[in-house]
Amino acid sequence: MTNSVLAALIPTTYRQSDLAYRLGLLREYLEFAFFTKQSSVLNPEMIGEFSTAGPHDPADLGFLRNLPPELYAAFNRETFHDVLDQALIEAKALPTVRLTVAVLLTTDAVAMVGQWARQAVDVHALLDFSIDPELGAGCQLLWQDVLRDYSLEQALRTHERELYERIPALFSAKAVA
Amino acid sequence: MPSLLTSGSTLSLPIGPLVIGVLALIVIALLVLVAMVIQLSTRLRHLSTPIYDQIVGQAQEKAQQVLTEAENQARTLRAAAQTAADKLLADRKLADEQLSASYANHFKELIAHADAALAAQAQEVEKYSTHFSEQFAKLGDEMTAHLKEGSGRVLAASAKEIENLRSMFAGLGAQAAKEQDALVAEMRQRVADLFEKEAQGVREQITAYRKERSAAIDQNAVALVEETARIALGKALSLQEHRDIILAALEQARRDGVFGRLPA
Repeated sequence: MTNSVLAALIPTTYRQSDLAYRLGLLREYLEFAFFTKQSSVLNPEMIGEFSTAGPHDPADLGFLRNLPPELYAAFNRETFHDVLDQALIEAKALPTVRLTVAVLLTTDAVAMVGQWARQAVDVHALLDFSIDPELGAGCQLLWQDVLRDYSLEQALRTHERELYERIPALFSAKAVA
Repeated sequence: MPSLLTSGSTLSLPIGPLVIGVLALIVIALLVLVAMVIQLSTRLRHLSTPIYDQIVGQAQEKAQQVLTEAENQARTLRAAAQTAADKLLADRKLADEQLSASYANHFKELIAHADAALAAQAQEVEKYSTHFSEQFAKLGDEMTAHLKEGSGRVLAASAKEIENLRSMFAGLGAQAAKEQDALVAEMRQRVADLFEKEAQGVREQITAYRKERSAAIDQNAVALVEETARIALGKALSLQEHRDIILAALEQARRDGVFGRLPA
């Protein structure tokens, strides 16, 4: 990874959609500072002004405040668009584990799965989630054009023959009893 | 230096002042004429006013006379009309009274005629009533005698017929009872045979249906259990349990070698 922006965002960003969103948010903030305010200084006070300029999620403002100062120091109004464009291109090329799950996971759960992926798959791995309640539980996994189904639905389908054999017997035993 | 008076005693004056003087005289004459006309007009108006007033007064007097005459004539006409109307009303009243008296006399005559007719009719009715009473009494006696005679004959014939029918029905009843018993026995046998046949068919159908439904129920039971498990587990699991199952699935994927091929 050559882009300093990605290097700063990746450690706290696990979903590809989050990464694209945060790059867009950073672009919006820099445009506000450099063009709307005609300022060359990026400091916490500027983030405060940015927060009052429009409706912003506190989590987004926290993200901007937690970015390292040296990252802001590297931006200037002439080059920041190119830097962010390049970061977006490189983000799309990062290894991505695509998961289909039954429920919408919490941010903490996403972070845990993302950390697992960084540790077990790739240090820069990102996640891409889809939701399908029919799965019941577990997940479907798509990685490098390989699809694996580890869902409850697939488990039931795998053991369908066994269920056909055992459940009628179970019903018959109950009927006799 | 030239002099104004020349030889031959000819008076020589400039023409311009002369014309102006003439025009001034003409204007003065016109003004005097206008003043006179105005004065004469005013005087004429003063002279004509009494004549006008006199004419107007005469016209008003004449009009008043006409109105007075008209009122007198109207009053005369109204009195004549009133007199004629009173006379007409008196004539009409007299005619009405005469007509009422005539109607009363006529009604009295009608009532007298009606009374006479009713009296004559009452006499006739009484006469016919007495006659019919006598005739009815006579007829009643005759009919009573005939009925007594007829009823005796009918009673004797009826007793005989009843006896005949009783004996005939006794024979028919015994025969019908025998035939009925045989028919009932035959019908019972037929019904029992049919019932046994139908029951056998129904038992076979029930057996086949039970097998078919049993297989369907078994199959549905499996699908039902699958669906129930999927829904129940999907709803019963907490988000943490979902997360743990996903992590376990990813661990299983790693053990299966899914992530063996890392991107270049």
